[in-house]
Amino acid sequence: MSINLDDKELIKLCLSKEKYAIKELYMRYGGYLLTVCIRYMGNRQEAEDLLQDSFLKILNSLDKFTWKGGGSLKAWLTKCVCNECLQQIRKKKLVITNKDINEYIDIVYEPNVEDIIQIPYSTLLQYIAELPDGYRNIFNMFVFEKMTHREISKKLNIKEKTSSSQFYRARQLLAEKIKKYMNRQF
Amino acid sequence: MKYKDTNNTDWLNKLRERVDENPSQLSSDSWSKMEQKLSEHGVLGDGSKVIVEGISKKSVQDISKESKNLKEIKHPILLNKHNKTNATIKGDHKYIAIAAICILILGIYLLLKMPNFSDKTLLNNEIENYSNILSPKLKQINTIPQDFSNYINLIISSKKPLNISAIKYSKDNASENISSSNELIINTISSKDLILFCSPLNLKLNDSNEFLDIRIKRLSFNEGNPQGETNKSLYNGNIKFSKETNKSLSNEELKSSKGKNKSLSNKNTIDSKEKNKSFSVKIDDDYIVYLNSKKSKNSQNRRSNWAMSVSGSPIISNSSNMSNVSYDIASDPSFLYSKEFKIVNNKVLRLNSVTKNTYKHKKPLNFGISISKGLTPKYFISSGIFYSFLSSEVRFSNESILTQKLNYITIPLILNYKFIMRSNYTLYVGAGGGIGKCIYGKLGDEKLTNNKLQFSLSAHLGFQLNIFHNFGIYIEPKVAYYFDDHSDITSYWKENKLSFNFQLGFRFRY
Repeated sequence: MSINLDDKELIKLCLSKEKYAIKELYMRYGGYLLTVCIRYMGNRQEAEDLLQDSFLKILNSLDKFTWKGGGSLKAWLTKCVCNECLQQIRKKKLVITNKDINEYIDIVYEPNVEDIIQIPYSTLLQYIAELPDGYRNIFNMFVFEKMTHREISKKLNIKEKTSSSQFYRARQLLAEKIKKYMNRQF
Repeated sequence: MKYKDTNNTDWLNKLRERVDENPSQLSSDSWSKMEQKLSEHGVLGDGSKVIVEGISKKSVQDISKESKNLKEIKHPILLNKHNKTNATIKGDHKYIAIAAICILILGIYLLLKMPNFSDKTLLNNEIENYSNILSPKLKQINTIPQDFSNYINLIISSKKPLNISAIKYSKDNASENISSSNELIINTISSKDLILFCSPLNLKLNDSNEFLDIRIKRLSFNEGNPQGETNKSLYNGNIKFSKETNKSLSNEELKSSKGKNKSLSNKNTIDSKEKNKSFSVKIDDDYIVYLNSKKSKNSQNRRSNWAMSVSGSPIISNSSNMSNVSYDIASDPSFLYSKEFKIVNNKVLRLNSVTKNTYKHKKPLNFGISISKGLTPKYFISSGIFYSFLSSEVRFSNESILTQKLNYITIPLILNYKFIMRSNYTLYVGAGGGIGKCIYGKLGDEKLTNNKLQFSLSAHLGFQLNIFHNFGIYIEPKVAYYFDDHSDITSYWKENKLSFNFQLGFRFRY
């Protein structure tokens, strides 16, 4: 399926608006970017719509991309899509409430690495998608985009503490889901 | 203390790894949706170009793989669209484009074939007209015995009864032989319409250097009074011309006595018309004598036929003694070939008559602002506002020249079809109509008004250079047909109904 072109050549061809190359780019990274979108948007339909919008924007601003070695294209694409997701979330007013979660968080379960390996990735993705909007975004940013709470708080215009508490809550929810899955298994 | 246990992030890292490593499966129609979206936004190229250069480094295997892929890549929607546009260009629209180009070519052809109304031809036509009117007499003259190698036919025409008392002519090398000149008395022929004095002057010109001196003693109007008391002498002078008509005397000395022996010699000029060997002698503001030479059929006999006509133009200066006569002429409608005349600058100007005023039209200047609206990607209508400036030099039969200036505002409505579209230029053909209105006109210092609307049809081929996405400069070679507006004003458009011009302009697209 995939054509033996490296990212650098592919981008060059995409810049000259070769349909073939654009399709290749879409096919090569579309799946991954769709995952990113699902992680943020929480449902596949919205995620696919967003992916298409993002891809269009990406193609229009492809000239801004600078090649920085292997993987830089994927990173750049991911960043673009993330920004698009966050923008969309802001538009949808899925605003993260600034309230702290004061309730006592009981760490009921801490999954093992082995547990994670056993669970199909699609289920994992589903669990992330099922997280409440606010928690999900912070969880994504913290875990996947490896942003610090400070960065998240700046980006989302929330308190740093809110970010960390919400992340914590998301993590708890996810852990519970994983536990449930494991319990069902055995 | 609540968040103490955040150190254990191994499972989260593993989670990220697993999710990142396994991309989601795109749905089967994902790309086709994407493709549609991209083509809607114009991100995709035309899709027809297949990259080869990018693949050139790759193995043959890859290329063959790619060619397989290419088949898939051409999405049905795009494929259809592409074929469709091709089909339509090859179909109806092609004929429209061809038709427009044909009209354009036909227009140019007709334009080139159109007779050129120049000053010269008009004058000749005029003399022809006279000849036609006088044809019976002329024919008679043409049958003059061949004894005479040259003869001169003197035609003096006027609608008003003329009384020529005496005409002298002489044939000699120098002026000393005037005494031996023959005198020719021409009888007056009175007629309400036209008085002709046709009398062949039988002359022999042996040498090309010989001069012929015709002396016209008196040329006067007989104003209906046979008593001769009110006879007014209009002209008294002589005309001298040589056989070499091309070298007709330019500075003819013409003595004119107008009652008070007012000398008008400084006004006299002779215009030489080489082609038909005709020339006009301007005797006065009032009279033009046309001398017309025609080669007879027996050209070996070097026979030529001279026609001289005096046409009375009803142009009368209101000065001196002439005013009376002029008034009479003007008040007598039968005098005029055409009843249309106009008083401009205290002079009676004949506008449309046999002795037609000659117009020297300059090419109209057009400029304007155009806006266009796209109907479909291929069709657009354009309109706008155009200003046209028409300037003409009008030479009246009394040789006075005035400038006619007309300012038109035209609003066109044109349907255009683009047959070549590129990002920075467009080629198109169009046809449409326009309505024009003269907003301001001037003839000399007199204001001209024309309330009639000027309708026109046009077809053009256009080239537009797009400077910004909604603004461009265009050039349109254009064939336009202007309908007669049935007004009294003669303009370039009236005489050149089918005209070809270039139009330059700006176009705003919205």
